[in-house]
Amino acid sequence: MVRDENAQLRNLIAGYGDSMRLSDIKALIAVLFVAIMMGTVLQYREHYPWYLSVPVLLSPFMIIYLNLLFSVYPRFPRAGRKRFPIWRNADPGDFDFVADADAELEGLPALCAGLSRILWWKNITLLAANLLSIACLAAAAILLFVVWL
Amino acid sequence: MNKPISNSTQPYRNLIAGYTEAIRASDFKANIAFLFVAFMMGSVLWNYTSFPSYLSVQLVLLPFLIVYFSLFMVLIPRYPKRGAKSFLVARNLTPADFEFVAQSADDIEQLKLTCAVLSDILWWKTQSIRVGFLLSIVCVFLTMILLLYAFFK
Repeated sequence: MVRDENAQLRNLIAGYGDSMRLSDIKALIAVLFVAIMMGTVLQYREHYPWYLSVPVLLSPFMIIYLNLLFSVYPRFPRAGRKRFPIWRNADPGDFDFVADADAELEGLPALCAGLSRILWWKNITLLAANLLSIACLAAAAILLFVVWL
Repeated sequence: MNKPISNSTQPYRNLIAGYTEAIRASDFKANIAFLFVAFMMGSVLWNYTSFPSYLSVQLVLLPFLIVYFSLFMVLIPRYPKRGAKSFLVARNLTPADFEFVAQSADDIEQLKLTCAVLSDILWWKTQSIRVGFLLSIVCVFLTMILLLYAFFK
């Protein structure tokens, strides 16, 4: 029963890892997309109506960049630091803890909690960036038709 | 006959897999960040004439250059000497050179050394990528403040 529970937690950790990886890939591609779009948008700024000044045009881009950069910022859960040390000049002797399987099992729930927290932040920042991008695209589409009509 | 893999080595192998994955993720982020910064630098320089007088070219380009430098530090290939016995990278190697690698595959001390080497590499990568990302975040934030100032002026 206990073994099953541990297996369940390990599956959950693998799931969190997968979701984070996917979230990072989405955020990184979005950063590229927005960076390319910003150049294009700025290039034609002289043709825009007066109310679309440079600060108005650039503000959503900056907010999206901030969100996406926060989303991909490298983080490692505090709870798992003992079992996943990132040290400068680490010695092989520092890794004796790996043999202690019981300590690893005890740390699984805390690791799940840490990963869940990181994924929440990644998700919320990515969601904010995506929603703002969608809103800006919709606004751009409306403005295009307003000018056309 | 192949030697069966003992269970005692499995936790070390898992840790090594974790480090390798984190290193790969870090490299991927740095590669994309490179593209992002390069695109941004183009946009910024293209509109340089519209910038206020206190933003000189040197001042505008300095953060870009620091970010490039830190991203290069992330991506620079590292094969430390202390882990070189089990991961040979050399010119003119012979099959005999790999006998030691095959023999020490299940050696706990060797696995610990690999963990230490990978932890060291990941430390450098993490610090460098954090510098690059933090500087980018600060610059985007400053740009937002400047834009707000220009809008309400």
